[in-house]
Amino acid sequence: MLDKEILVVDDEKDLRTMIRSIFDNAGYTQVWTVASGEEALALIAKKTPGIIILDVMMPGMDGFGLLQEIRAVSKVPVLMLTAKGEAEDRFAGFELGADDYLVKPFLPKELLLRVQAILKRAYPEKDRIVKLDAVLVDLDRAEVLKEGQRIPLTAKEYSIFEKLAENAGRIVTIGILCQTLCGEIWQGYETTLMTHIRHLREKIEENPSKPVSLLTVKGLGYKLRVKEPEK
Amino acid sequence: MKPVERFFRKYFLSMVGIIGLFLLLNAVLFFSVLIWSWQTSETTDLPMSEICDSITLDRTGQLAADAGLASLLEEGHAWAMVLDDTGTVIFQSGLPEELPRQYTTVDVARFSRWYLEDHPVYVQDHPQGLLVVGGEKGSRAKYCFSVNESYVKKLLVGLIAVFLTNIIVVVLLIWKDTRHIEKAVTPILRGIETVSSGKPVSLPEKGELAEINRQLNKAGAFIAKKDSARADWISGVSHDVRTPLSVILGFASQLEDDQTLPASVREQAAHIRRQGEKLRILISDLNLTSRLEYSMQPIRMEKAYLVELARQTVCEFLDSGLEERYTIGFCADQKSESAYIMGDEALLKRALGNLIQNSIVHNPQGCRIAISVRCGESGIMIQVADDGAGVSAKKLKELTADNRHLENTDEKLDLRHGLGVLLVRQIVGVHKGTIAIESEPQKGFKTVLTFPASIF
Repeated sequence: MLDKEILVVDDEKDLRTMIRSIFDNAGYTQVWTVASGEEALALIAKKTPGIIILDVMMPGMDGFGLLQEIRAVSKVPVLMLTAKGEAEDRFAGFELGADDYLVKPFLPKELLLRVQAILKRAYPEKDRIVKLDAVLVDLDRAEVLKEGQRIPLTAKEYSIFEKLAENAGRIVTIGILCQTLCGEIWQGYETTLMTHIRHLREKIEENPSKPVSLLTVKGLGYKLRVKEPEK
Repeated sequence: MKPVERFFRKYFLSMVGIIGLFLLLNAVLFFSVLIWSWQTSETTDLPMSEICDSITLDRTGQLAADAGLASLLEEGHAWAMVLDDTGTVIFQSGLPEELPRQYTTVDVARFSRWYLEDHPVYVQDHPQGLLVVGGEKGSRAKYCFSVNESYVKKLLVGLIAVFLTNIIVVVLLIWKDTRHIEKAVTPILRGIETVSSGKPVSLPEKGELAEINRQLNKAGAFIAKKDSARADWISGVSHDVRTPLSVILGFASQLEDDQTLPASVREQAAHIRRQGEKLRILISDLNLTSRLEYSMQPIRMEKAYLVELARQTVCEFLDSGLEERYTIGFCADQKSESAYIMGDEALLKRALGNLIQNSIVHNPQGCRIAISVRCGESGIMIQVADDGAGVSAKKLKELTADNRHLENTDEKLDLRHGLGVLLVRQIVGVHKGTIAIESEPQKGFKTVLTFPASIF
């Protein structure tokens, strides 16, 4: 993942430098920076980046215009950076096909997490194995590897686990988990979710009554603690 | 609209009062004229009984006048005669020559009702016959009439009815006229009220008062333009500050995390980062609050499940690496789980986030924050409470006072404390909710937001 090319398009030199240093420090090896939409298009014509970080407000071609041009030829993930906090901008960006949106000013951690999340979604690893305290979970096969045994996950358990693994280390709310199970209208599904979580724990925890990997955050949701956080 | 209604009620009553006064004045004038003309008329009434008494039988059995008669008749420019039963004049004083000395019953009947040869005459019973007193020709008008009693009664009732109808019609007309003016003026007064509250005004520019409406619309548009210029200005400034602040936050944060640097330098970087974050919150609050203040923020009303929304907001705080001094607890009752409101999710999250942020910022020593969502009869309630420093009664009063901070920027605008709560109040207002704040020094700070909710 660290070899993915990151293209930063921003007219502000200091900001480009700052963003570059964020990714340099995080270990990314391919960080390209350009100062305008035109330069970005010229570069994209030659080589395809893994992700584009795009400023909305730029002299000449603005971020939205550039995004339209990019979308005409490529599906490369795009994260929009904007100095405007307004909802209008956000919706405009998503409508044009942006993958995510970050309002300035932001903390390096926020940018890094979002870029990592986008990359993980856009370029799923071939061998998706999640390492937990007691077991390994093979996401591609939907199986738990426990002491040499392979225990299959049900479809529902798998969706729950996948959602939690995608957001490893962060709390996933009850609502979002229910939503992954049954769509937009999920109210009243909370108790069923608890049942699925219990079954899931029986498969992935050493001691299901004292979970160490699939943690409950009281009243809010659940959090998956993986053994080796991906970096 | 109370003062306007009061004004028009007063106006109506005063009009009725004026009409009443007018009628009273007329009555007084009418009677004054009657009295005046009666008192000043030259011809005095003929004193019939006195004349009658002054004509008596003398010792010879003849009718004779006593001394007073001549002067009585002189005063009234009159003459007198007495007729006996056969119609013969048996006494006369000043009787004009041309008048006969003998009258038939028909003559008597005729002149007692009307005139005697154009002389107005009056008759009265006398012990010796019939006393007839006549005036000068043309000195008096004489009518004699008799009317049916029921006719008189009906006439009186009719007259009263006409009078009352007149009064009612006049009052009704005044009332109608007042209503007419009220109808024309009320929109203008409403418009003025709207303009003074800073909202856009648009009155129909037609009718008799079109010009006033046009001017009012102009005034409203002018204020709106100024407001939007102000909001744009704030938005522009905050926009220009965002990029430099990103660079500051970015580098400070990287220095803070750089393990190769001495601890003291990293601590300094942490200070820069923390202050930068405060600036960041301030800028975005200032921007949003000015946009809400001037109704420039587009509001997207959708079904919003507050419990889940609160959960996500709390999780964002917990995931963002909340320092250990702070704990956030969350609880929700079963009923609120399926309760929703029509609202703008981003704004609602912002309001809730601001309340949590306030508890964190105002309690640097750390505190426990408890968020609870309950569904009661008054709607769905979100409570954010901390056990931190709280605020003084004076400060609490300032926070709960419903003032418009942005209009008082020349006063002591304590952005650090005030803006967060102001923004929450605005957002709650947009959603037709209510906000209640409780706090005591050293006993924490509690905010309860209540929204009218529907159940899924």
